[in-house]
Amino acid sequence: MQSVNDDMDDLFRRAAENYPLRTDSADFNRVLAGMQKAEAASIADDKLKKNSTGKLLWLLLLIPFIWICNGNYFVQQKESKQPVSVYSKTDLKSAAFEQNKLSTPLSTSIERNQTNISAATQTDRKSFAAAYPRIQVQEYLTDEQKIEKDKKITVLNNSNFNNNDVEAKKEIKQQNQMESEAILAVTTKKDSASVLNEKQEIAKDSVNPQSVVSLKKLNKLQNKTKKFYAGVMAGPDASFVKMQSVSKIGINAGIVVGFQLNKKLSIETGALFTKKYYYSDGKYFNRNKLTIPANIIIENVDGDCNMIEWPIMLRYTFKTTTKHRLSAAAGLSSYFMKNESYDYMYNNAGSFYSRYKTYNQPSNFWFAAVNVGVGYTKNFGKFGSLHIEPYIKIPVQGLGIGSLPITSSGLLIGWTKKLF
Amino acid sequence: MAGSQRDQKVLYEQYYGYCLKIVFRYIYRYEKAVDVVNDGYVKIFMNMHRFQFSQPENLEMILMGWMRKIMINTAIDFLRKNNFLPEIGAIEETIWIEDRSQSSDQAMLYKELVSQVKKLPPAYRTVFNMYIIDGFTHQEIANQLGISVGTSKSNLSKARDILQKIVKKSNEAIAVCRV
Repeated sequence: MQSVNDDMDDLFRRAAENYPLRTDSADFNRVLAGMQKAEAASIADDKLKKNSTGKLLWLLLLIPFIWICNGNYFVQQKESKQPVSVYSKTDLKSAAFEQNKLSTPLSTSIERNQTNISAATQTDRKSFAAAYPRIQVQEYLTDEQKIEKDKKITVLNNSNFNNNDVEAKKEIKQQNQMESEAILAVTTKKDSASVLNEKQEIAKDSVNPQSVVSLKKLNKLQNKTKKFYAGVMAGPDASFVKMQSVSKIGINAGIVVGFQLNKKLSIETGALFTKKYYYSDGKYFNRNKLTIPANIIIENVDGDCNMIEWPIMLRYTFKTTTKHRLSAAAGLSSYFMKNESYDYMYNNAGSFYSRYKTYNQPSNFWFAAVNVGVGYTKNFGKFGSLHIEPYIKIPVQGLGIGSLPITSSGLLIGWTKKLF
Repeated sequence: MAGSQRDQKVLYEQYYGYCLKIVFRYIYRYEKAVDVVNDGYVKIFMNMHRFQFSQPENLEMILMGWMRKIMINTAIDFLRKNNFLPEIGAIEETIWIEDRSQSSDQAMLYKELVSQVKKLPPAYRTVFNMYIIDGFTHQEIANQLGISVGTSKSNLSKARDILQKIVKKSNEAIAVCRV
């Protein structure tokens, strides 16, 4: 059989070299015209490339401005200059005294402070100035002591001040405001602008002399962990039907959002654009959705499709260090088919034909695949985390017009960041 | 060689027949094959600066190999543009050279064989031409046509089956005529 094939191949090779084809149709002018067209097109292409490169450069130049305009630059710069300790002596000093352009001697006890406040309300502004040291006192106090102190001040305010003494009350309010601003200036543990706004609101509350819980709130806020995260993911995707060959490598790209339920578990979803390429023998291709005459036998199909994938995943973190995290995820994926194309090879009465057809009607496949993955995450602190996840998607139902059981495996690489 | 128009014209006329014979195996219609050859030449002249050779003694062979590759690529681009759709209609007899010499029988046989290859579905024809006649590997064919290696092998096998049946039938017909 092999020798028959070889003989036939050799015969066809000789035929291809020596077959009697008329070759007097040469027309060099047509080639010249074609060359002129090609040159004009290449010049236009160069111009377009230059323009697009210029646009890209402009966009790159604009990125720092966008960042600055977003406020991230100033917030981060300000925060990076502040020490981490919340009630540092120097910070309080600089924040309180620089903002109010006042210099006052230090005092070391609440009793002294209270005496000073009383003195201020009873006598004059000179003795009031002595009351400012209560700001510095805080650095030596625990949270409970701070709350106790605030309570005492409130009691003092209520008992010692007359309603008519409006000026004295204003001064105390001013003092409290200064104190809260000083606290604000040194609270640096939260890095997002929204948290800062929350702090400002709490600080405003503390302006009210009746408020005694502001510091507690503030501490609670600082200890609160971020539970929502989001990121972008992309990567290659290899799809195959019933363990047949992979026709071509596709892609996945999109966004993911997640919510951390507890230290170990989190739930994730997102939207991924998916381009899949697959090859299948004709026997796996379901013809029910198509009107193909019965005498036509589909030999094989080469397909590709564009879909939006909606995964719902439960992630379990089984190993965590400060910088790295290993997790496993499992869930279901639904697919929203945008369009699909098939290159059919079919047999009609012994003759073989090929036909390419594109189907543009959208269709949905709910929970069509079980999605399993193992993820590695490298933490880069406030910048976010690099996430790498190999996955496999096992079909629960057929996809596309031919209901093909498409298994996919691939790698998702992305960047995630905790939001709030 | 890339230089003047006159040189280009010489090159064009010298190898036009060679290129047309290659392209006509892939493209069913003669007029389309002529267009594809001209497009191929445009590519050759536009990219002549990329043509490199290390052995001057084999310059012509290397040049012909390079031109063959460009012509095949251009033909495949044309087929892909038409989605490898099967063509209909007979091949005109006017495109063949009438040979009244002693070797006319052989020429007729070759003409018949090439005609049969041309009648294959475009996907089979392309793989057959690339693998059997032009010496591409299945991997190269798969990359070039954007199909899997399995599809390439399957297409070749089916093309061979069809051609074997035809050759067998024609042999039987010749035998009957002789009897």
